[in-house]
Amino acid sequence: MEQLHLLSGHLLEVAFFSYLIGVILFTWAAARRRQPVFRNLAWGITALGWLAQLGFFILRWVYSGHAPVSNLFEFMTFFGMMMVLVLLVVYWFYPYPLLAILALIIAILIIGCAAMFPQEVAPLVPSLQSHWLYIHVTTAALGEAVLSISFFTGFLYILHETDQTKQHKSVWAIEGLFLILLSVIGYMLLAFIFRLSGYTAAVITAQDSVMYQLPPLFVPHDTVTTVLPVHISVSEWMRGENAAQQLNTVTLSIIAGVFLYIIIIALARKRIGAVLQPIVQKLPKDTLDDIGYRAVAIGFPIFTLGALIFAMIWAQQAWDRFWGWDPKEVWALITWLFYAAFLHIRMLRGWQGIRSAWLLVIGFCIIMFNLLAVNLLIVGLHAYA
Amino acid sequence: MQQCPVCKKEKQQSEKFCSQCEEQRKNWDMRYEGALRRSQQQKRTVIDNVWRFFSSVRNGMYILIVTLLATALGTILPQRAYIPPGSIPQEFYASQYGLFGRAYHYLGFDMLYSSWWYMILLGLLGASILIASIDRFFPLYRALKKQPIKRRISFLRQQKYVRELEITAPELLVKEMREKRYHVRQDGEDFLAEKNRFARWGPYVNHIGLLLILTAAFLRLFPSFYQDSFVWIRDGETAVVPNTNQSLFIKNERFIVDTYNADDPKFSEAIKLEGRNIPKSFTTNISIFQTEKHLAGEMADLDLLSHLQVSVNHPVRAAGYTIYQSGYQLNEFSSLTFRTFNEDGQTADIKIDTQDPNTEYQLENGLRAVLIDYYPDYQLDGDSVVTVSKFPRNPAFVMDITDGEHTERVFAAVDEVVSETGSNRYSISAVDYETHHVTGLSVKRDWTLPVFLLGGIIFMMGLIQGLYWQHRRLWLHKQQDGTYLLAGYTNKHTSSLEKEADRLLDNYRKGGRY
Repeated sequence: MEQLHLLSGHLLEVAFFSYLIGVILFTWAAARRRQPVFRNLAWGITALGWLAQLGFFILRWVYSGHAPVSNLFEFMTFFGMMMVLVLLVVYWFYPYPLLAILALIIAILIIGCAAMFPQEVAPLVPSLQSHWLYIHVTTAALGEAVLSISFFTGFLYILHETDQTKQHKSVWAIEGLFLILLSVIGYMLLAFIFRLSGYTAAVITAQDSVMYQLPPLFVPHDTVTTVLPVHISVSEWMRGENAAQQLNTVTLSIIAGVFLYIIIIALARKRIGAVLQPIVQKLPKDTLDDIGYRAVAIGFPIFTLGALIFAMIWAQQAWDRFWGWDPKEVWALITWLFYAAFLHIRMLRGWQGIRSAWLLVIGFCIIMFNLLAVNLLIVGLHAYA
Repeated sequence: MQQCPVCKKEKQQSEKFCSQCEEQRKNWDMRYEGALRRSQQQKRTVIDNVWRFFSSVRNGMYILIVTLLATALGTILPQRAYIPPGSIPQEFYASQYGLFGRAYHYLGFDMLYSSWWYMILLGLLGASILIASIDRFFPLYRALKKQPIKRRISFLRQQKYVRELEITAPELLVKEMREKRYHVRQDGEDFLAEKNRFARWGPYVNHIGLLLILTAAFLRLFPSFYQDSFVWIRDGETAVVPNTNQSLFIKNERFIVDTYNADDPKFSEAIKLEGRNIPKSFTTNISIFQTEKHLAGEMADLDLLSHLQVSVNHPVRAAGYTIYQSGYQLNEFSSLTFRTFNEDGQTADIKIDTQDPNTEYQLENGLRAVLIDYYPDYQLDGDSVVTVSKFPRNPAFVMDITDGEHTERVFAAVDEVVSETGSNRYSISAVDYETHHVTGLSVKRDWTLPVFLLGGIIFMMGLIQGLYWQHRRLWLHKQQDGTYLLAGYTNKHTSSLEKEADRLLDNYRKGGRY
């Protein structure tokens, strides 16, 4: 049995690196448009990686005895897996390597972030012991994955359409998005480097001690001793669980992101948006707009079913109420309201194209907020996932 | 210069149509077939104006976005239902979140989702859904029901897909259309091919589902539709379920907590990380009793209805109610025993029942204990003692111990005894206690659940109907010069219609089959 667990872990690594290779091959395919060999190869490697991840999922299920979607690590890897699956299908109809690259990078980042959370196989607490666990979570993740496709096309559309010769709001908004993306990459790099070097720093506060995996720049307000001579005490009102440590991680990630951003700008000597625009220019923008709308049209019902209806049926069974205004529930509702608004607003005159593309970017931010921020910032019943 | 396909005037090379036709196309609204909606009538009364406001999708979206923002506002700080039990909201928000918390509480955002203005927002949303749907449904229904097959040439040329064709055998093209599941009708030499018209009703169906859900939420406010009670029952005891007219009794035969084995190699890591045992199941064995008539204060004749086992995720039904395992309390104190020493050193024990403490205890060593105050779940709040719940989880008693002459006031809890008079004349200490488990059962009767479920099902059906199918129409019109005009309409995903229509023409030109 123990072997099963090990093997499942290795399969996830295989999947992760296959996706990385997939990104490289798709980039190659985007550069050499005439040769379909690369495109097919890229698709094939990604599909193999997906099968490996499916293996990881199944073996972990067999080993733990329950669907591995019960904590943040498991849910995020599954979400990444659904994203790759949807991409593989979409690519069949719309073979745009750039779309594939963007989707794979996001999936890789999500799976990479997942690995930063505790990976132990945890037993299910009574409220999670239900078939609805995997019915609800898998459907919700699939719905969100389909909705994510609309973000990818929306983002490409914005890159395509925004005039990079002038400086205006949307140009800087694009750079802001890249900065967020680079901060997530920065977070993964930092976590990877410091974990590899075995770095831990103990911060002793009046009540207890906290182990930091990153240099403790921000420490709790009642800190007694810490390792860095230069540090900032977090104000007293930030009392959430590990508030100082989370602020520390976020700040360091952003610093790393800014650092990466400056390197890229220095090398390219223009904004990232301006670098990418000529590449994206070859994509048919109307088709991008169309795929985005379609992804919402297909993803919205799946999301409704998984994240609201199934969730409510289960909540009624497990918690004796189908709706309790728990933050995760509320943000699922907000996501739903937002995409419902999108479907209506798109029908209004003048809201197709660039405006609807920006809406799709906001929609994905809401999904990501619900995935991560709600768990980390707002404590609720879904604290496990 | 090229010709504009609509008016045959000259147009710019890069544009699809000439500027005049382009403008006309923009203003041409195919959505309701150009039919006049009530909201677009000329004459206006107050009702017309209200109707007009709610029938606008744009206004509906304003309401929706405001609702969305309000909903998000409620998650900035925890709602009152999720603050630690026993804490006073006003103090909790102020002490935890400072000035912002105080304002949040003051503005009522800690109970945002049950606030009157949030209810009003939901009501406005409901009105918008209802009125906007009615306003559009009937004209659309009439327009699609009585569709002419022959259309004016200007109508056809305004469509998103327009092709001029030389067709010798239209019946072959019609056959291709039928292959593609189009329903084709003929009028003279004109044809109308149509499919998936039912997709047009999707939005109306899903809006009916949403209205049902909002109605169900409204019905919940009435007790005849929704009853909700919660009982704490100690092991072995029987409790009457509140709000059941004294007719339903539940006996807690035994409450059982099962935890995961920490030595299980599979889970040992996670359990170590958690730092405590992880529960595996919470189960209560219960007996349900019913009684016809019950006079308050009298023990009723209870008729045993059934023995059941209720656990988390496995609610049970009995007597029209659903019973959920939804709380527990381990090791509550049933009784505390204190040992007193009189001035001669003789001892005597006082056993105090936490459920029903006596007001006075006459002890064998001649002392008398008078109960002054009782805190079932005490906590020190600054200098004063408060009880944070009514459950004997951490009981404390204030007693006067007296031998007739001297009286000493003591504060006695399981872990400490403090003399309030400071004389320590009668030494007293806790020597024994008994505990029990308590199960928390939620007993509900909710007639709105089927309505919610029905609403959900209808909503999903409407959503799939409207979003997974597209209404497509192709008009084949014979022009005066003998050539044909093929015009296509779809309610969404124009590129798919173009692809399909092009393939139809392709197949036709290839002479039928692929």
